[in-house]
Parts: sequence; structure tokens; C-alpha cells
Amino acid sequence: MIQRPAGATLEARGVVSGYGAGEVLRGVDVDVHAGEVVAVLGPNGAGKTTLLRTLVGLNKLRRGTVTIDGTSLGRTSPERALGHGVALVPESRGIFGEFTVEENLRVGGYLERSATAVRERLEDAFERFPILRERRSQSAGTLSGGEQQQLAIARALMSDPRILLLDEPSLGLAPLIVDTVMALVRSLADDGRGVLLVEQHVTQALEMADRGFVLAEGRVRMSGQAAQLIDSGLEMAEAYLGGVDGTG
Amino acid sequence: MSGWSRLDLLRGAVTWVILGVLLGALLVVLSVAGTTSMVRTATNFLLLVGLVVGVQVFVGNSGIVSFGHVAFAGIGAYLTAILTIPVDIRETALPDLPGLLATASPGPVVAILIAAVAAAVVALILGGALTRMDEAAMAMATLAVLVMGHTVFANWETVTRGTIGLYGVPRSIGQIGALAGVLCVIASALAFAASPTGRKLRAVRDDPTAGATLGINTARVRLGGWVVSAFLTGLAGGLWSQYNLAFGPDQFYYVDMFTLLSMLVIGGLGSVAGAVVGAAVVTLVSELGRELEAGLRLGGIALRELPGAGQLAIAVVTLALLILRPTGLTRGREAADWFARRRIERSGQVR
Amino acid sequence: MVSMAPAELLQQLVNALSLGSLYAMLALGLAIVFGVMKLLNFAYGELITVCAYGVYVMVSSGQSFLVGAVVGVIAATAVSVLTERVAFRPLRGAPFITVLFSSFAVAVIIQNLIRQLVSPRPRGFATPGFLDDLVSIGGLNVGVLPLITIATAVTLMAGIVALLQRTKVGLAMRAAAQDFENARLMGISANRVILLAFALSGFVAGIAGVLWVARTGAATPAMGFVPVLKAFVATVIGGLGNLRGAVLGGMVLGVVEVTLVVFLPNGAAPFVDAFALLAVVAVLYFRPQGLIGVAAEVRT
Repeated sequence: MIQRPAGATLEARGVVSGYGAGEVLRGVDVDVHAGEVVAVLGPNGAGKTTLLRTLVGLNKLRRGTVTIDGTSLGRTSPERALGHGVALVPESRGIFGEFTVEENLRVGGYLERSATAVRERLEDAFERFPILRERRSQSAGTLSGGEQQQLAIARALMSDPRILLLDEPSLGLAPLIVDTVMALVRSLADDGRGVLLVEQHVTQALEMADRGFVLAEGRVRMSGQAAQLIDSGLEMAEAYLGGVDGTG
Repeated sequence: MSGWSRLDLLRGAVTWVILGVLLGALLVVLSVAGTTSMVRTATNFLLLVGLVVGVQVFVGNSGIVSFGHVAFAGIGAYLTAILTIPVDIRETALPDLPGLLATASPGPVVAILIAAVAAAVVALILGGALTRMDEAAMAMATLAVLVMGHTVFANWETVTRGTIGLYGVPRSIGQIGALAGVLCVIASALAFAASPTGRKLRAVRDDPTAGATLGINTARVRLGGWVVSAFLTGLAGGLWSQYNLAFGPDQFYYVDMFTLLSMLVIGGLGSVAGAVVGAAVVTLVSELGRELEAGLRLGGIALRELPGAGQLAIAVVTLALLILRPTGLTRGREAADWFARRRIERSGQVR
Repeated sequence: MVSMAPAELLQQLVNALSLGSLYAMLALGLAIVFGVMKLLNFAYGELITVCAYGVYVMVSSGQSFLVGAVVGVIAATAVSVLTERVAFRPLRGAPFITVLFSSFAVAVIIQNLIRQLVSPRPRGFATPGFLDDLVSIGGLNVGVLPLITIATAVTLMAGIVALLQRTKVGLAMRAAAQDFENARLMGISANRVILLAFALSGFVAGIAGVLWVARTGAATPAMGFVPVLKAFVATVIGGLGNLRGAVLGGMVLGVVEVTLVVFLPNGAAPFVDAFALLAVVAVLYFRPQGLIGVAAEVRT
């Protein structure tokens, strides 16, 4: 039984944040709605990871607003963000290597009070990712890259999030598996969740996504429907180099 | 990056003059206008400055807190004392001293130098291992040095008289000697800061990857700073023994180590001037605390005693600074920079 | 050559295990906070002092030792939590060495507050007489206090293992110890986990403190440095951030200490401490993750 969560809209306006004295995001507007996949693209250092971290509260939101269904998240913390249904799967996957696969999943369901719900979601996870059921008592550190990615996503689903933030889920995976991951991401949105997807595989991401944003040097350079972005070839390349408005 | 920095040498020279003038003026004013007890406090303050500056050479330039430097001060103090205590008193107090230690009387200056070298040798031996650890491990290892030092001082009775301590050291320096000695330590510290080793050490402090990118041998420069610092701290310890005449192992343990480190934190790790400022602040607070400990007096009526008030105040201030302003009062700027037009801020933070 | 009757040997063995248990508990308390926060907390020793004075205040005002013990444990736990709120929370994110030195400052503050608020002088008090009694087990005489110490340690450790392995809260702590940031992404509240770690650490310190003063019968303002030093040696040797290592390190340290004191000539006994510290340097140099540990990441 796959959950069908109530839809939600995540809106971020004018997000400014960074590390230490530096500023990485200089006023970013993104949004994602229930049931859609929104791709966030751009060159390295553009601030894509920083954006996801800021949305969830790992980096301080210096200026701007972040709301979910109108409720302001403001300067939140990951704990609070998860409570509002926003879950991040980081680039590094963040698997607890010393825990078993099952323990990892259970930690994902930490905020869920009902033991029944946790058990049900655990079953759903095993249904969706059979390999995890096979390896449930194995130490998570021994899983392959692709398996760890599945575990990371399955674990995020344990909190039944309304919005999923995925940071380069296909990183370091073989091309064949990248397709599988994209299909998985699509299915997550088809469940009714909103998915914000940071990706390096531009074409594959846009082929599967509904909309996209191109981030460069801390600002949104381009945005629009995925199909439009695919067709905009040259403009996109310029956007990547930060040259759309003549700067960079 | 290699070679001596002329700018730093100039800065050092100016700083030395400024500090020398300030400290000298302090002594002159108190000698003329103050009580003997004030002069005594001031002399002890100077000797303390010597110790703090010695510690600063390593801690400030490397950014690594060392909990063990009092051990080097102890080596300096104990060895100098043993070599300067008159032979007849030595026979009674330390009857089982081995050969030369029992009979040698090289005079205070040579004794102090010998003791400083001894401290440097010990530092070299331990430092070989310590400087090759990562920073955090090294900091923890210096804790081990602290306790090892104290254990030896407190238990090697044939040489140190254990917990009873030494006595009978003749007073070979007064205010002038203290000032002279401390100015030597300060000069050396400033020279080290300008030296290639000192500069490379600071480069690694400010950017850990400098080892790889600039081709600096991190362990070696750390060892250099560690040994020079141990030498100077040992020297300062020897100087101290020539004024304080009697002491025991507890003078070189964690309480005093903490006080020395507090001075650095409060004044600012990154500069010698910071060490001096910190020593001044802490000494003032301690003196005030001592007054309070004797008991608050309001209109001749003695109120409660406040034991440990001075130490408490220092610890609170230190903690507050660590939270709010880890670079300390001087923010790592040397005295020369106080007057410089271009403010060159050196980072000198506790890492 | 020291020769011993089997009865005496057994007694010494029990003493060794007892001291080992005490050190193991001390090390455990220190390691709990290190595991979650990567913070070596030198103020931990002062928790023992706080506990000791708690016992003293109660006993000297006519209460039983048991009441004193309860008060001591509560006091240690409370002060531990207080130090987190006041001193360590503002320092979250600061470099390892900064926080290590800050913990010294906290230790000095607590020590001097005790001097001000309770007493600057060492205070002795009566410990229950039965603790010094000998119990006959299988024809051999064993001290009551050593037996209680060992039993307490075993119970405490079993309890902590159960807490960590079987409860949700324990799962949260273990996750935070492995990867703090990702634990937060699971919804685990940083503040709550850290608070719990400090509370647990204080609780363990309190229990160890009661057993400590039961042996010495005295409370001194500066007494905290020795226990935290033992804990420090044990955790480094066993492996920082590794609870099993800390416990084992404590046991080994205690057993070796008693063994050396018994078998070495009198003059050499104090140098046992120096050797323990030398061992610390050696471990930090050759095998920083400890003899048992998995490499613990320390923020520099």
C-alpha cells in the first residue's frame, strides 16, 4: 500500500544564504507543487546544494522567505522542516554505516509516533525496494552505491514527506542505474509528493521533470517548463556560464 | 615564504621598544611612588610575562593550545634552583644528587641557560612524536606532558624533594634583572615570529592546507616552534626561580597552566603584545581577587570571605571571551600595529 | 619477588576489578558526551566534586549516606545539564581545541564556586561502616565496597546498553554519534540529544562519584582533576568516541594500576601515573583511534 500524501506547495522567495563570511545564494526564487518534479540545474558552485540545505535549515536563511502551503518555515531547523514534511536526501546520502539497513529505515521514521505507521511504511519500503528487504539485517556500510541511494530515498520516505529534496541522486552511479533512479524519482512525484531535484545529468533530468530552474552564481538565470528548457539549448549553455544577462 | 621578513623584524623591533618602555616605566613609577609590596607584585608580574611570552611563541604561532608548557617552566625552575642553591644547603636538602648536580655552581646566568637547554631537549624528544599528530591529538598529548611533568616533579625526590619542594635559592635578580631577562625573552619571541620557521608556522595555522600547497613541512615547523618555546619558557622558569626562592611541584600544574593560557586568550594569542596585555589584565584581576578573598570590608566591618574569587573571575572572563571574541583583546595585533596606519590584522585565534 | 597466598591474590584481584569498574564508569561518562558531540569535557571531573560535596552536605547535616548519595547523583546530573546550557551550547561549532580549553575554564569556575558556596577546605565525613566489612565467599574474604562497585558498574552498563540499543532515544543518540548532521535530517533534535548526553554523563559521574567518595570519605575542591584524568587516559587508550573502548580502557587501567602497585617496589608506585600518560602519548601517536576504536573523526 503506497501512501498518497496530501499535496503541498513549497515556495522560496529571495533566498540569500552562504557559508561563513561569503554569500552563495544571492536571491533565489524557486517553487515546487504537489505531484511535480522540478529540476534544479547549473554548474558547480552555483549554489544548488546550498539551496537545498537552506530550505531545510542546515544553512541559515539570511534573507528571503520559505513557505510550505503558506506556512512560513523561516529560519528553520532540519527537525522542524521534517516535521512540516520537507525531507532532504543529501548528496553524500548520509547513510549510517554502522546501522543495519532496517535500523537506518527506522531512524528515518523517528518522528512518527505510531508504531503501526512505522511498520507499514517499512513494508512499503521493502515492497518498493526489494533489495533492501534482502539486505535488511546487513550493515548499511556494506551496500553498493546504488543500493545506498535506494536506502537513502527509502529512509526519507519513512517520514512520509510532502516535499522531497534530492541532491544529485544519480551521483557516481552507472548510466543504466541512472535511468532507474530517474524513474524512481518520477514515481515519487506520481505518488503525489513534490520533488525538487538537483542534478548534473541535465538531459535525463529534464526528460523526466515537469519544470526546471537553472542556477548560476547564486541566482536563477532561467526557468520554465522542462520541454522548453530542453529546446532552448544555446540559451541554457549561456545560462550555465552566467552570461544570459551579460554578466559573468 | 622562505627567509626572514623585514616587515616583521621591523614590527618586532618597534613592538620591543614599546613594550620595553611600558614595562620599564611601570617599574620606575612603582619604585619611586609605590610600596615595596607593589614593586614585588610588579616584579612577579614581569616574571610572569616572561612565562606567558614563552608559551605564546608556540601557542600563538601554531594555534595549538599546549597544556604542558608549565612542565618546561618547571624544568627551568628546578634545574636552575638546584644549580644555584649554595652547595652546603644542597647537601642537606638533596643529599643524593648525582655527581655534577651536587657540586656545580655555575652562577645564575649560566644555570638559567643550562636549564633552558634542558627544557628544550626534553621538548625535542617528546616533540618528535607530538608534532606529527594532528592538532587535536597534539593538544591532548600536551595534557599528558603536563601530568608527566608534575608526576616527575612530585615524585623524583632525590632531585626535586618531591612534594616538599625546594628552598634556599639565593635571590640573584631584582626588578632590573627581571626586566632585563624578560626583555630578552620578548626579543627572542619577536625574532622567532619574524623568522622563516615562525612565518611558516603561522601560514599553516591560518590555512591547514598550506602544508601541501606551499610545500611547508608542518611537523618540522611545529617542532621548531615547540622547541624554541620550550627553551624560552624554561628560561623564564629559571628566572622566576631566582626571585621566588622556594617552590614546589604544584606551582607547575594545571591551575597555573590554566592561568597562563587564560592570559593568552584574554590578551590575544596571535601576538607577543597580546600576551603582555593578557598577563596585565589577569594580574590586575588576581590582585583585586586577592583583596576580595581577604574579605569584603564595608566601613570597617568585615563581611564574608570570598575564596577563589580571583580565579573565578579570570575563568569567567576567559570563557566569555572564548565564546564572544576568541581573538582576545588585541585581536592578534602586535604593539607596533597599535600605532600603524594600515591595520594589519593577524588572525591568531585559538583553533 | 612477591609471593602471595591464594586468598590474598583473590582479594587483590577483586580490588583490581573494583578499581577497573570505577575507572570504566568514569570513562563511560566522558565518552558519552564525546561520542555525540566530539567534545572532550574536562569539566566532567568537577561533576565528581559536585557529587562529593552533595554527599558531604547531606551527611554532615545528619542524613544517611544513602540520602547523600541520591542528592549527589542528582546534583551531578543537574550541574552537567547546566554546563551544557550555559557554556557549551554557545560554543557549538567551535573548533575542538577551543572547546577543550573552554571546558577547563568551566572546570575552574565550578571548582571555585564550590569553594565560595560550600567550603574551601577539605571536608571529611563518615561512610557507612559496612562498606569496610569483609564478606566470605566460598571461604575467601572479599571487601564489601569492591563488590558493590563491581555490581554497580555491571548494572549501570547493562542499563546503558539497554537504553542505547533498545529505545528510540538510544537510537537517536547512536545516530547522532555516528553522523550528527544526518541525524538532524532524520528529525532528531540536536538540542535534545545533546541535553540527554550531558544528563546521562552527569548521572554516570554521580554514581561513580558516590563510589569514589565511599572509598575516600572526603570532599576537596580540587579533587575532580584525578578522576577526569583517569577517564581521559582510559578513553584515549580505548578509543575516543567508542563506548566499548572507554569501558575496556577503564578496566585495563584499573587492573594494571593495582597490579603494578602491588608488584612494584614502593618508590616506583607514583610513576605508574607517569607511565599511563606516556601510554596516552604513544597511543595518540601510533594509533589515534585507540587500541579498540574505529577511527573517530575529531573536528580540528
